[in-house]
Amino acid sequence: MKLTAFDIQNYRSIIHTGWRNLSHDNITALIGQNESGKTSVLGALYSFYEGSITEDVLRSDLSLPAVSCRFELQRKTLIDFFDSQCLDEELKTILSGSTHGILTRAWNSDRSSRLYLANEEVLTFFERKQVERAAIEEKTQNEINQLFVLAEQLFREMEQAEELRRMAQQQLNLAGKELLQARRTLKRSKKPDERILAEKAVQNWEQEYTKAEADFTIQVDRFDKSKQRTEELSGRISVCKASNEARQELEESVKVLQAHNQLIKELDHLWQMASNPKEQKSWYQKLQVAKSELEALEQHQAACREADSFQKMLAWQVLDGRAYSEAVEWVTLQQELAKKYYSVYDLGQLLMEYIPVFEFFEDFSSLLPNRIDLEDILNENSHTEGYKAARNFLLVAGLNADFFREKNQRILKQKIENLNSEITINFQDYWSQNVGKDSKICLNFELEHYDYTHPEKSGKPYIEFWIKDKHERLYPKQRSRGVRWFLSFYLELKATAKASMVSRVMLIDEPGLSLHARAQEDVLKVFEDLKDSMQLIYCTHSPHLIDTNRLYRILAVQRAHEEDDTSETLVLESNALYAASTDTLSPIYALMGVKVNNQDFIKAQDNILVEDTLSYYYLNVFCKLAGSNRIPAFIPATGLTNLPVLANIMLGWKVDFSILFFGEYRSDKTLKQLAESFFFANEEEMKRRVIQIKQFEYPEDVFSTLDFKKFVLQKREGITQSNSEYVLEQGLSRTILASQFINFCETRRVQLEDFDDSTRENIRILLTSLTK
Amino acid sequence: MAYNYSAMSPDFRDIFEKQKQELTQSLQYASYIQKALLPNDQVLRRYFPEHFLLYMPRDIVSGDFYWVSRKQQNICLVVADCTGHGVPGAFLSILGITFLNQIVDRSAQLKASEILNALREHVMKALHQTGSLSEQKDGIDLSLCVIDTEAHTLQYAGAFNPLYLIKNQGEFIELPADKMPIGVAAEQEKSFINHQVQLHPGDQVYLFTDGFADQFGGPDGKKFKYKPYRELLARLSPETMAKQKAELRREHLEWRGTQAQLDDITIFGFRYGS
Repeated sequence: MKLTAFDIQNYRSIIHTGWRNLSHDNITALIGQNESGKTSVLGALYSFYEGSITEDVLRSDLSLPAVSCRFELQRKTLIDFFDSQCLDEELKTILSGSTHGILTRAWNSDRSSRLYLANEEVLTFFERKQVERAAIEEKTQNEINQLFVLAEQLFREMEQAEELRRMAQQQLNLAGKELLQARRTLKRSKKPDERILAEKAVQNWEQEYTKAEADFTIQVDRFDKSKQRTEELSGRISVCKASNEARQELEESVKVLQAHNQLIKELDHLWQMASNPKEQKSWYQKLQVAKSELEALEQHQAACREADSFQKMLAWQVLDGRAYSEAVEWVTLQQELAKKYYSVYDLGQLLMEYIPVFEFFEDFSSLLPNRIDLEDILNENSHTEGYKAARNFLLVAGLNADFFREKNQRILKQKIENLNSEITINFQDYWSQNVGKDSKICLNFELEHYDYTHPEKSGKPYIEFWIKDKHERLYPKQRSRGVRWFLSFYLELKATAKASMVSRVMLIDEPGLSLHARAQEDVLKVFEDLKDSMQLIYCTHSPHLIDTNRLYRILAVQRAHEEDDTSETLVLESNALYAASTDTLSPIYALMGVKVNNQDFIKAQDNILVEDTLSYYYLNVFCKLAGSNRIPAFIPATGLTNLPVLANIMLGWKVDFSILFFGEYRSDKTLKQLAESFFFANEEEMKRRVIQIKQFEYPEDVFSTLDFKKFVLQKREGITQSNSEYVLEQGLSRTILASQFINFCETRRVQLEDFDDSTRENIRILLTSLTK
Repeated sequence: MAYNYSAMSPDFRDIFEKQKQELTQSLQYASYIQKALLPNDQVLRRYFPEHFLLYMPRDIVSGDFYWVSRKQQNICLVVADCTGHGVPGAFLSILGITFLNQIVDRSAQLKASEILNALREHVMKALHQTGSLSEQKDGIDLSLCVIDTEAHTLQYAGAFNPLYLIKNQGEFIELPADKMPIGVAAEQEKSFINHQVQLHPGDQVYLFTDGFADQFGGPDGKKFKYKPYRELLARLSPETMAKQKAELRREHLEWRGTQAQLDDITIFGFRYGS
């Protein structure tokens, strides 16, 4: 997996860099003035990997940092990194189509952080799921509330029905009693008139009784129905009650946790502000107790959240008409599935295991020592002086403990001698400085044993290091700090590259600060050698640590307002270097000056000034492809408008040159400016020096559409306009396309014959124009 | 789901019939538009005084189309077959005609292979084709020729569809097509090959789609195939253009017999310099 871009927010002086691409060939240089924020970029990337930040990283406006890194999956898709059984079907489709992964680490106010998979489609998926769930929960809560209103109404109705039933019962009892009494009276009545009256009374009460009986039946029925409805609701109500209780419990646990966090903050403040050790100790102890309780509270809150979610889903299902037991079963299954499925954070954490290891390369505390006990190395005693450098030395030499267990001293000495010459040869590939006139330095190590002068270690083996040249043999400490630094740096990088198969991103802050310019260029050589085994990102303001032929490796770092050290940090990609300040670009300008002196970049004759570095790259490649005998020195300006300035400089250096323009109309303004202020209307001189290639608006138009897609774009889609119009319309980086093309040509050994007729003819037209 | 028409209720059958009628009318109207986009007989006659066109769409609208344009002394002629037939093919044919007009209009010099290269770019862009495995591989098979009436040359480039040239003396020449479509293919796009031949008065040129040769029929229900097709053209070549067309139609109908027409059929033939 390869780191291809980063996006940093709210980290020290950085507010938001936006996505910034790293160089495709694994070496990226951050250039900029002091205090511009270069180290913040490295720090942010390292914090992304490590997860921890210090207080000073936070911005004064308390906005929280977040760092995103984009990784190219190199012929894999995201789904290959996860257990597909733990993925939702829709998510599987999304992940199957993703050839890159974005990881974002966002920090909280307590400086803890959460890592998540931040590919746009993945985030959209999880956000949608969350919105759907929130909608269900809201709907369920509304239904619960409505149910409670209904239940209250039913309960009142039942009470009323019960009262009416009770009254009807009383009425019936009364009518029954009165009827019984009337019948007895009738039985006792002998006289005719009394009997008539009694019979009438019986009739009356019989009617009353019948009526009361009917009324009672109605009220009983009404009550029964009301009761039945209430009973029917009771199951649902108990589920809803449980849901409300779970919600209240969750709200309570959130409040408790918030209060507890506040308490920890206050205790932390009191501890830091304590005026004496006793008070300090007391606050510290209280703080520790509070912190120890925090985990339990967090666990409780998580449990409450789970219970709330369970009850809410259960209520949703029951209110939807599902039987209680069936609903419990369904919700339990859903909860289990949800637990089984990866969250966006799980995905982030899992992918993190596959990304390269980020290492922050600080200045070397461990320089190569004069000697070190073998025992200290074998026991990994890291506190011993020079342990790290010595260990690296042995690792690069391919030695382990077994090597030193060789009993036969003669064989051991011979092996050491062989190794010494091999290591020296490797080192000399990178360290090009001579000591004295022609003597190159050599590294040596020897295995010795302590003698009687060290009675406490007598007989124990130690390794002795030497840095030799033609004339003398000196201990490392007798050599300059620059030599020792470079040696340790070389060993550290080589050892890292050799130690593990895991890919690495090395973050290096100001490498070779104390080195001579030549040695700084040697640092670049080491980078070049290691770029296939690791990615290197380094900060520098040294021109000797920049390769002028590979300006696409540069990210310029500067403040938004040049004069204001407190303004935000901006990071500009190589295709936007024109927007960087002169001070930021000073290493590049310095470098061009240095190269002029070397006569490596500009020739005495046959120089052609071109619009930009892209024209420079393409033209050089075209000349090489065409096998031209005479390749002019193309000198890039930083845009059309800077061509007259460059022409003036060339004039000042008294070198012969021509100026090349692509396109028919877009160069008009610059040509006019040149005519007026450079050639002073001398048309003949202008004709001699200016080459205008009208057929192609930009160098990219030299390719036929098919070849542009195949060699430059390396993508298949329909292009119906000119190549340059397409690049502009799609907002593509011309720099990246140019470097892609150069890489493609180099790695595939592309020949002129590989291009189609149309491109070949265009290259011929172009080169003929240059020759003229 | 298949419906049994006879088992439908009368009401439902009425609705069904009405919908079918509406659909047919709509397609009929689409076919008028398509015909309007194709060059009419008057135009064809002006550029090719002695020619025939056998144009037999399988459905109401066709995935085959033919197109002609003149630029200075050059006449550009295309006979094309879009993926599918019927409505989808017709849509693509309209795109093809539009793009051809644009490309030829903007080209300073007409080179057959360059026109096809540009047409492929337009089709890929319009259909958002990027070569990914999952995408639809819609495209156009065609043969294109550019006849220079002053230099008496014929340039040809083809996507799957070849061009037949029968010389005045009877020699049969096949200009082969590239095995790639106008549209995205499995392999990275390559430039189409530009063929050029000299034309003489009386030479006959045939551009066509695969509908005729791919038609099933005959006693064994097999494809007509290209070898008999070439032989048929060679045999008919001495005849007048009208006779050739009539014979080709008759041969097709005879071969097809009771079988349904499999694909759209287009054959364009002309006699040069008469």
